[in-house]
Amino acid sequence: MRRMPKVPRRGRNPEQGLARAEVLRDLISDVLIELSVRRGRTMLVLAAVALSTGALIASVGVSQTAAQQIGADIAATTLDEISVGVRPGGADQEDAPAEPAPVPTGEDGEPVEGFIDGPDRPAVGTAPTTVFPDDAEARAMAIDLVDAAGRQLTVTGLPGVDVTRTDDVPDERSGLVIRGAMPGYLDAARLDVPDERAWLLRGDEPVVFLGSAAADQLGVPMTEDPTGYQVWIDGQRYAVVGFLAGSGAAAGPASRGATLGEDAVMAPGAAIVVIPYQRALSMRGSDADATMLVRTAPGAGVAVGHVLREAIRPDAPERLEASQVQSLDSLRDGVSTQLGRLAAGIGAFLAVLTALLIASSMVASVVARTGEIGLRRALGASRRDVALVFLGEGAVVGVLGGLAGGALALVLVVGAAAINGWSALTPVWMVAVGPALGGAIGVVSATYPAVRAGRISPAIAVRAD
Amino acid sequence: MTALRARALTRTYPGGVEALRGVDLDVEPGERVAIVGRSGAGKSTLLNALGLLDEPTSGSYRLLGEETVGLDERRRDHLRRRALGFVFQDAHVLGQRTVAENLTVKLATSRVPRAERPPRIADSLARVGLSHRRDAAGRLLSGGEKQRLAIARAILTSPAVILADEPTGNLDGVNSQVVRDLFDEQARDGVAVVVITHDDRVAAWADRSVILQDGQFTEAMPQ
Ligand SMILES: Nc1ncnc2c1ncn2[C@@H]1O[C@H](COP(=O)(O)OP(=O)(O)O)[C@@H](O)[C@H]1O
Ligand SMILES: [Mg+2]
Repeated sequence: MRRMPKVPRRGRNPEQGLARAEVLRDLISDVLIELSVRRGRTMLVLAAVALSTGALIASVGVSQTAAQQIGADIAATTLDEISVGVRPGGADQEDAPAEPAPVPTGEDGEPVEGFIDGPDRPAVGTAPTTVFPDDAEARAMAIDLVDAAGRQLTVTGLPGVDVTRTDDVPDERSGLVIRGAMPGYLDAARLDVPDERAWLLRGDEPVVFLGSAAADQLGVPMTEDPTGYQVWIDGQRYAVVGFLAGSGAAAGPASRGATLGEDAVMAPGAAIVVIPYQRALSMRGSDADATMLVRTAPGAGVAVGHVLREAIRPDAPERLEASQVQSLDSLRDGVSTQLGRLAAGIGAFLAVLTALLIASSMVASVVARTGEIGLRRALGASRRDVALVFLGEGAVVGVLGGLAGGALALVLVVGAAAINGWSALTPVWMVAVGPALGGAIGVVSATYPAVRAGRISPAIAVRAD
Repeated sequence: MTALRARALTRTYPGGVEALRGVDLDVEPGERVAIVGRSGAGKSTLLNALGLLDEPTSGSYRLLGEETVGLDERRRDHLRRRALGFVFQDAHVLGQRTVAENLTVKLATSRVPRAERPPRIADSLARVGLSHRRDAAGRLLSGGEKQRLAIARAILTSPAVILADEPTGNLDGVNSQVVRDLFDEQARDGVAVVVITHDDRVAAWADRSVILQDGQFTEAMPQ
């Protein structure tokens, strides 16, 4: 029986239609056999990949942890502002008005119909509910290293409280903040008023200081002496006694008063109207939303923060809460970026080194396997098939090495943090990035050996002589 | 149809050596052809050209009726995969792999589905008498066993042509006989067998021997 088969074109023969997945499986098992056959070399390359990816990832991880720590250290050492507020929900009888306003009753003793209990604003003459003692500023200033302290209470948004130039014609205004403040508050917020007139805020006088935007909106010219200019707030005449100057500072962290615009930046140019604290307190009827801004000597913020509440309310420090003002984020970011760049540079260097190492080891392997490559070509393997075996080897070694490297990095970062007493930053990416990075290094470094393997002439490779 | 038909094949190596200088050769299915000649005569060059491992410089070479000179590389790879079986002097057994794994390399290269592999491997090993060595490492085989494995690999995908370069060069008389018997079996199945040899017994065994000298056939020696 004689056969004269014609070799069919690719694709016409069902035997040719081996699923892509099966081809891949063949490739992988081929690669794995090859790697396990050359166990010693594989372990060496794996170790190199693990070390370099581990070092790369760890250097980034440690630098991030360190940057976070350094940032925290810098923040702690340069912190000089503290904001003290009233802890919500802590009102007790002692602080309540001594005599609650009696509910009006009719002749038969029944409450008068239509009387709303708990009015928005207390009746005139009712003593406000307070948590801060009257001498809160003096108590805070008594602490060493406190440079300035003062309460503020924003009244913007209270029903009926508005500010106009005249009592009858409401002007168009937008975003004006009305804030009651103690003189020490301006100081703590790094604001000045002319001729040392800040003391005017200490009392109960109807006076205002204006930020320049507020003066602009209210049509008050910013002359040296604003005597004679008046604004109306809450149906009362207030004398304009000066304008805000100085560098200004963030008025503390956003707090419960944020809805009242309390988080607005206190700057000389702000649209802000400053009135005596006592007046604002009378309007609000409570200092539940008041905060005290405390400025300390540089770096004393943390220490002062620990004793501040006790100093202000020794009887009930838990009624207050102190928060430190974070204004150094930008500095911390700078540190993080610099360390990150350094780490990335070292990491890139290590990655290149590893890639070269893998490449040279693979080129040696290609040369050693010349005969095998020739045989594979003779058996019908294409250049691509041959190249893929080496690329596959690079990928597998890279991914496995990177996996080990990621684990190594995790250990290094946690270890470095433990030794330095830092809180470790060990994000999940650290584990995931190892195999990805290692795989990329492996494939890149296998590219040249793979191409070289594909170029080997089968005719020469299979020669016995 | 002839299994292979070469016309005026030449091969000039980059250094200027004219290893083939106009070779004509026809081999029919089931025919056993021996190519003999002194060392350096161009035998391996001819076999590499016939095996599509190397491109002739000029001439025509039809494999199963298909012109291969100037064919793109993918198609040449494909023809090697499907139509040809090689047996070299060095058996080129992968020493670190088992006998079965050596055969798997060929089947995977030929994209034979996994399910079909074990029976094919078993059949091939049975034909060459290596079934009992199925799981032995290639490096542990004797010279004769290695060459039998190489033949098992060559016949695994039922090629139309078997090309062998000094297949018995490293073998003793007994093993040489085994190889010849295996080739006989293939020839009976219709496979064209082309063998390069120094071995007089192989030359005598072939249906036809041709003598290559300085890249040309000098005379045919019909049996
Ligand atoms: N790759 C090559 N490059 C240059 N010359 C070669 C190459 N291969 C073989 N030759 C030369 O071609 C001639 C034929 O070689 P070869 O085909 O190996 O002969 P044989 O197999 O009959 O001993 C010899 O002179 C050899 O030196
Ligand atoms: Mg030769």
